[in-house]
Amino acid sequence: MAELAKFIDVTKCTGCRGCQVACKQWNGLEAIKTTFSGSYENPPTMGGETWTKVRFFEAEDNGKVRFLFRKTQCMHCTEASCAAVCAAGAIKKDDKGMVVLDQNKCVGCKNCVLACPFGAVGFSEKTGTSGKCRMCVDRIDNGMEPACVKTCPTGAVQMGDREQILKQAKERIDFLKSSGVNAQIYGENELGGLHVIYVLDDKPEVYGLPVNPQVATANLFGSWVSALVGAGVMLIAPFWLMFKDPGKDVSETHDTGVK
Amino acid sequence: MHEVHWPIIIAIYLFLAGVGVAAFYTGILSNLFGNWKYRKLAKYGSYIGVPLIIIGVLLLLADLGRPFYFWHFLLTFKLSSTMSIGVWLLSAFVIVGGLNMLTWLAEEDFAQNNSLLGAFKGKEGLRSLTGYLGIILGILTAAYTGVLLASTSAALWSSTQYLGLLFLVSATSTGMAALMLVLAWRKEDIGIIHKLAKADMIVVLFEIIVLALMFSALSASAPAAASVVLGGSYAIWFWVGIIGCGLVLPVIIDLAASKKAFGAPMLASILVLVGGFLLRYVMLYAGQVGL
Repeated sequence: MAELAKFIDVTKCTGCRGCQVACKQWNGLEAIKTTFSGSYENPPTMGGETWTKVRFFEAEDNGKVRFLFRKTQCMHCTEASCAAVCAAGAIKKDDKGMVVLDQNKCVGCKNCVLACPFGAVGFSEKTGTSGKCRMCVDRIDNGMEPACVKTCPTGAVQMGDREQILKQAKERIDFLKSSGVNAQIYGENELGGLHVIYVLDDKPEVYGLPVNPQVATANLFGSWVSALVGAGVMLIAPFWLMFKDPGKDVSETHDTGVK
Repeated sequence: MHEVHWPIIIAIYLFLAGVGVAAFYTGILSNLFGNWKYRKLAKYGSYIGVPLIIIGVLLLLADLGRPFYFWHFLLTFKLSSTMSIGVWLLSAFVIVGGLNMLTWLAEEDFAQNNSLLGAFKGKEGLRSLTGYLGIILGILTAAYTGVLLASTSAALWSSTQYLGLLFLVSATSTGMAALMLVLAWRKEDIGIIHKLAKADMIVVLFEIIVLALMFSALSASAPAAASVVLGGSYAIWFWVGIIGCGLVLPVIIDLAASKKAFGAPMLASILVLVGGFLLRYVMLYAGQVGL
């Protein structure tokens, strides 16, 4: 089956946060206690009961403040860190490229929460499991759009075949560039290709996106090799130096520890 | 306080697992290289190691969101998941180390009329086999505790390849310290204790080198994360607790102490253990700043 992707055009987002509400409604996620964090961005972080949220950014251009919005959620990476580190087999990629977390299998070790390069996985005290956007795979299987796409009033969030979405994103970028906007695409090649494609009107950093995200297991092999090489040196040296048998037949006295 | 996903209970687990497996393999390695003259080290290592690992695993389970679903781990084996590797290493170590411990327990006075323990009496073959296997499993487990942190997206942990090595070296040092402490407490042969203290000094020097390598690499690859430890809110714990009390002071005490007293090696090993715990605590918490 062809791969799918979500299309997010930040230039069309008004920060209404209808997607946040729709996501909670459809997925049965609890409202959570929150605190004022200095802007209308709310709640402060993603979490096990908050699978999508609109992040608010303020950038300054020649003394003029620009008020920027970006809807965040799981990016459904091709090289998915969460799926790689999950020790309970609870996170799987399906044939459409969607990364789906099965909360019935999740044990709640939080490794995926720490592994996600986008901070898009949270832990829910209510369920005792991790939680994240599952791209409403059940809705898609029944011929419907994800809840956030359905609810977006401006067309800033859309869903489609990944090939088609990429084409659409590039057309939009060409259009924005022709009107003098520093438009960029994000998600085409990052981590083997994300299944959320952004159209940005500024650099990814401005929108809180990592410029060169790495899969959490990138250092795995090197870490094991350095540990095991070090182990060889470290374990042999002190024990051989301190405890080697000088060669003569030491009698079994009390101070050799042998009864 | 910043948000932590892996809290203090995980720092305690990382510490206990390191001390436990290392007490086990350092005891056996001393005996091995000493041409089987240090049976007591192997025995005490087994007695320290296996219970500590069991306590550590229970702590790990207690931290799960759904502890009673832990068996889901046992349906999965995945090399890309360091946690999965750890689950299997710990399970194997508990069985292998447990058998090793039983062969020692069978020789104790209280076991003489116990038919269950009696079955393990005089099983030298089983003891050697589980000993050798336990060395391998123990070293891998000690390294895994560091590699586990490295396979995340936390900059402090994932921007270096030395974390597994650091935790392995630190575990070895704390494992030896635990052995020394028990030997000193039991008023065993002071000569062996001083041999262990010297071996521990070599490991501590190695640990200082690894720390220096790691933080010079981190200062280049993840300067913001490194500065949280070196100059930020955890700096005092790092410089005073880990470097000062945990590494430098024990070496000075071991060098300066009389070769007859039990007090000095006891104090040095307590300091090494405190430093080892602080290393886990600081690395675990500082790594989660800003996530």
